[in-house]
Amino acid sequence: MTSKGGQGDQFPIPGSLYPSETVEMFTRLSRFRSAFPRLYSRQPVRFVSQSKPTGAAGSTAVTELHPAADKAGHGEVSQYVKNPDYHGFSSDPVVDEWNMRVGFFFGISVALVLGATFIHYLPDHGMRQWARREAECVIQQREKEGLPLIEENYYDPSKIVLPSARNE
Amino acid sequence: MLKILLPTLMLVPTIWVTPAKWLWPTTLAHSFLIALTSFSWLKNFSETGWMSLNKYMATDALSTPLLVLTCWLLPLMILASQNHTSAEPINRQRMYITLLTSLQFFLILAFSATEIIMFYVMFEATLIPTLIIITRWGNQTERLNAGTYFLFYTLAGSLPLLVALLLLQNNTGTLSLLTIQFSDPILLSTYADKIWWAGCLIAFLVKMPLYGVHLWLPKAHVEAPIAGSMILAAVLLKLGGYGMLRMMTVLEPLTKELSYPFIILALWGIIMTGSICLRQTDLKSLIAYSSVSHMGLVAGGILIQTPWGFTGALILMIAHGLTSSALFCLANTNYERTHSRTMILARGMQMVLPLMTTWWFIASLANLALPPLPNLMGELMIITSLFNWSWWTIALTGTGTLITAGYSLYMFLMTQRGPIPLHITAIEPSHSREHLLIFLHLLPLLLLILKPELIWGWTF
Amino acid sequence: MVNFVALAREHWVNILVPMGFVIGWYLDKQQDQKLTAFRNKSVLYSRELKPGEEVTWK
Repeated sequence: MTSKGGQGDQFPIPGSLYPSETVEMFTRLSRFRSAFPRLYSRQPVRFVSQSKPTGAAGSTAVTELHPAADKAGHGEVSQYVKNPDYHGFSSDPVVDEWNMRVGFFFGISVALVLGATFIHYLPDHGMRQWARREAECVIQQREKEGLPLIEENYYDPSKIVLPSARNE
Repeated sequence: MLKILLPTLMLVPTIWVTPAKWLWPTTLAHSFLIALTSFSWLKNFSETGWMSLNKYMATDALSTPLLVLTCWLLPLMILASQNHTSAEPINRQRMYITLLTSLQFFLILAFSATEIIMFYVMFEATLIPTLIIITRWGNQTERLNAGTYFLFYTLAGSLPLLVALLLLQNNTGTLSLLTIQFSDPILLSTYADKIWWAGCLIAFLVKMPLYGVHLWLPKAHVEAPIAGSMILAAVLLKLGGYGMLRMMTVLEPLTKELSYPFIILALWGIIMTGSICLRQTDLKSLIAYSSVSHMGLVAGGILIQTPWGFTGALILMIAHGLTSSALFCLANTNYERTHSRTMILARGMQMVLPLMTTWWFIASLANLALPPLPNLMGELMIITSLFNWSWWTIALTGTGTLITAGYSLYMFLMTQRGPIPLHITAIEPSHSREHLLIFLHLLPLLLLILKPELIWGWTF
Repeated sequence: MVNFVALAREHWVNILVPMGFVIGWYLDKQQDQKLTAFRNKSVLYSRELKPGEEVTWK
């Protein structure tokens, strides 16, 4: 790996590797092939932000790959390199997936769906909707019977017992 | 009441004894469950107004939506801050979630207090966790300055309130919200009474914030970490509106004349802060100023003291809480990828993260009050009641809405459209977490279209 | 079985928040019970209970 140290000067930004050179470099990677089968098969785009400040060369892009995976979460290295199904929750793939499940289950299935159902079936506050329906029924009935829609008096005058004038 | 408060309290030991691995999923699940149970407050079966009474706490139609919003914000804050705190030591993460939980605890106590002094104490208590969040987890050194501004603006505004409240207690013998609205109107005639009136309101106007005393807000928003910005925009500003709505009944006879300068200032503030937004380069600062502008409308709606004004204010508070919180989350997704809040440095995101653009689009439209959304309902009710008071206000509110539409679209265009800058080489794909987060902000907003009477407050 | 014990040891903390809910719910109930102390005691508004009726309201 260290033998080709000077090669880094040609492509200081690893993302701009020429295709042929990429292939050439990747053949040198072959010893990592067993250890990082998935890494190897991914596109070189993933390696982009691996710039090494020291002048130690073209192989840096390769050798820095696995320590980079450890210092996750700083945006230095994409989590997707390590875990292609990354959901943005945690660097541990198991926790990540479970956290995703918990988030979606409790957020959507429980809180939103059950909450919305609860709110939809809340009792009719102040019987306002009932009053509206009742009013529509009464109007229809009165129109059918030919009565005026609304009486002049709110209370039936015959039912109100007034004190007779004599008592005063 | 306690059935929400005690689980919130129990969340604290849960945070500290959970295995480090399961810290975030556990707290997320439990905070969602608490949010779900908080929906039970919406079951409004009493005609007298107050519900779920106990000795110190009660809810009514005004506080319920704000309480539910508070409970809903905690899981969202946890979701939002998961990524940027994950690099920190585990105990600091636990501390962070504990602070967020304590904030929810204090906010529930503040919104449900039946004593004005208890409300005051909790109002002040929310300062502490927020201050710690801003000054400890902010990103730049300016956060200390922002924390000072935040603390001293609010404190300086609210100390007169304490004196005013003690005076009121002396005069009426009670500060219970349950009875104070039935007490005799106080005779207010002297200049001291006018100062008392101002003392009662200025704390809330600073918290709202009213234009002129708003300088702490953009600073605090810009420097705070994402969860701090979210809770600040979504709930803490609403404490001011809530307090004003509560105090209005006591301040009755004086408000008619004394509120003029404040209404004018609030309306003027809509235009001024809107114009500031049009020239912003900083994404978070833009959203913060847009909050100031919306809150100016809320302040106007409350000070005008009509049922429509109150209802519009509450609707706008809830809708703005969800919208601005969503916008801050979206700004944060950009920030986590480009490490810059400057809008011009992260253009053309539509090409990179197309689904995020959809969320940006909906959130921007909600911010500029697109027709079916509750934002429009609130704005329209406030504008109508202001117009009913004086025709001239339409010039200010109308221009204000126009500018709001302008800067919302400006924000959308600046972040989403245009060419991608050359320095952006690799942007991480958007996470499921972020989509979930934004979805959980915007869906409740959309669902509120279907049942707006939940947030109508006293008029329903 | 061992698996179950391990699971319990890992996740026992999840009981805390539901426990808080249950305790809170119980205390709320207690509080509501206290409110019934003056039920039907008012001289002005008290009334005779109908046969088969235990309390005026619950």
